[in-house]
Amino acid sequence: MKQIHVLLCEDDPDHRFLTTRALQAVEGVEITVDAVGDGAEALDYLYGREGYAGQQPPNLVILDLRMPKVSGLEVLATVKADPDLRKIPVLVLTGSERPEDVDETYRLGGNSYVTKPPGLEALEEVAAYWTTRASLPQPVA
Amino acid sequence: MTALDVVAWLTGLLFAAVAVDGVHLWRRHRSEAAAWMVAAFTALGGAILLGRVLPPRPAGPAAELAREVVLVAVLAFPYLLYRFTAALARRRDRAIPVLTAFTALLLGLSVALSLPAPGEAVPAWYRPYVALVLLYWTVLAVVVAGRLWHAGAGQPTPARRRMRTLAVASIALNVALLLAGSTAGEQAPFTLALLTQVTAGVSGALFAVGFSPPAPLRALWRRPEGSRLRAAERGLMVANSSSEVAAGLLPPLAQLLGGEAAALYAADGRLLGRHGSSPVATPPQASDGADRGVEVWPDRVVLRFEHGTAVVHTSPYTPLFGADEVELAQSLATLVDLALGRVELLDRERLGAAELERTNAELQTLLYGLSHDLRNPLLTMVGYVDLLAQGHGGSLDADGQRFVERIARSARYMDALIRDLLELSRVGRVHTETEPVDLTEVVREAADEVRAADTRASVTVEPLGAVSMSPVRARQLFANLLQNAVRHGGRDDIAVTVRSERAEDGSLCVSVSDNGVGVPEEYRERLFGLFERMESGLGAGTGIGLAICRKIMEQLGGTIALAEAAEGADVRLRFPARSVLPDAVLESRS
Repeated sequence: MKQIHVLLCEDDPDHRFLTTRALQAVEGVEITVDAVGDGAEALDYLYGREGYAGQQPPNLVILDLRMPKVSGLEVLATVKADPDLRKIPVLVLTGSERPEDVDETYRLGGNSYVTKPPGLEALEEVAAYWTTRASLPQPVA
Repeated sequence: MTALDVVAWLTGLLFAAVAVDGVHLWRRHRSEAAAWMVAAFTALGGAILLGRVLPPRPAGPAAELAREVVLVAVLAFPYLLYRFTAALARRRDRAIPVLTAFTALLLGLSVALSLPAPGEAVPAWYRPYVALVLLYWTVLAVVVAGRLWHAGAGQPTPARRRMRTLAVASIALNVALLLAGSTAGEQAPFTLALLTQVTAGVSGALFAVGFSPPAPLRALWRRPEGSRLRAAERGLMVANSSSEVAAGLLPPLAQLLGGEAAALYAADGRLLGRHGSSPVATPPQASDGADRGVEVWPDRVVLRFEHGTAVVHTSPYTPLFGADEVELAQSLATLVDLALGRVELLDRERLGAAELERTNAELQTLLYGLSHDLRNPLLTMVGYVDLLAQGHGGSLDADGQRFVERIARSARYMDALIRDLLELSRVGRVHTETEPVDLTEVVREAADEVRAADTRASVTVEPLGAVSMSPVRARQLFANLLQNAVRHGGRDDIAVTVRSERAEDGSLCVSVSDNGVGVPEEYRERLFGLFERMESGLGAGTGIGLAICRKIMEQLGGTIALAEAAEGADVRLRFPARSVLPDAVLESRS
């Protein structure tokens, strides 16, 4: 079965839980979800720093914009500017509907912008698309 | 009295008139130049007139004294005229002490020597003496004429003409003197005497014209400045900022007054604009506390008006020769006052608009933040409730499941409410670009979406037309209206028709009508208010959709209302004529 490794960057613990549940509910694919609660930790994870030494980069990053320490947009900018990490698709999943946030996300190279839908079913739809419909790259070791 | 006598009297009177004019000028300006002018022409005029009334020689000691006075006065005239031009020049004239000494010497000599009466024998020293006097006079007259002519070059037309007239007058007088002196003691032939007298008379007339030209002449000389002034006035009337006012006012003002530099200050002393290279001093305090009008100082003209002050650095000639121009400057000052007043209003408006813009932006940011923070916990609620329903529905009884479902619906409703409120505020506040929008296409797309959600509903779209508006708002508008019809029509197989017609005044009326339950008359207007709904409960819509539609139409300058209908609801939209586009626009795009 296809195996997908997802990094979820979300500071709200409830949303973390719900999104992880939605991802794990997708059928036909085995998804491992690693979650971090702030932008600094997200960058540590992606660069294999601090407690994440030796960590494999994920196939997909799901990114909330409002995070403490380092904001989602900053994480996005860093990832997309890095020649090794830039190919990893970043799905921005956020409560913000601001057009400026949408614009800035795509300008920085974000791959998709989804305003958090109310309801598990909708979340599951989004998760299913990204993990079963879309093809994801193999990250560099 | 012979013709000669008449001319002589006239000449004397003309010079006396110039002296009187000089007295007026001196009283107005207290300038040194005016004082010298009074002295010079009093001397000459007085001498000529006195000379007319003196008895012929030999006469008594009083008459002799008078004769000496006349001689001194006549000889002093060129010196006094020279001092007049020197007083107008900027730089200190170093020749003056020498000249004064020489003049004093000459006058002393003239008094000491006893001049022969006409007909007497001419002593040996007489001819050289006369030659000396003529040389002295000629040199001074030429210098004076040269200075006045040259100085006129930089002045506006009226001042220039006047100064050059004076230069010519000076030369003319000199010529008269030379003619008189050419005979040196011998009886002059009649023609020569007449010519001398006439030339002197002409000189007197020219001096008079130069110092106080008659009105028609002034008007004629003023014409070139007049047209420049009118151009400046036009510029002032359309100025939109204080720097535009300064740019429109200062160059013509400086030119009008023959100045090199000018500056415009606001009422609070701020510098609004400058012209010319030399520095302009800040305006002096009003001399007598007056806050309006024109002040003429020796080196500048200050115009005071309600909204500010204009200062022009002028030449020393302006006070004497620029009286007309100062009047014109005063009329300009009135216009500048109006212009500055208008600019102040415009500035306040602009500030107000900028302030409003800022407040709007701040509010928008606040609303986005609020919406985000309010929706977050809602999403959590809905997520968990869904989990409950999915995974744990089995452990809940029927009531429990119903309760859970109500929680979910409530949360979703609140989410929709927040999104709609945010949208309503955006419609009012956020400006979106307008472009040609094919309403038929927009409505057809909205219809497709509605039909996909409610397969039994049918929507008929007739050709509607095109308007200039934001495409996003157009979609919002018709999506809202069609969804409303389907949701609140009261029947699953609702049929909605969208058609349009052009009104006489060019506006486009679009009607969205259905065959549903319709809206009772008492609610038709109320429904467009905020939070107004026909039904209550969580499935009934947020009550914001129609408010959004109305806001969108209001922004376009149009209207939306529920019309009376035999069956169902009939929403009438009116797009104002100015937003309606001819159908040809659409064809050119496809």
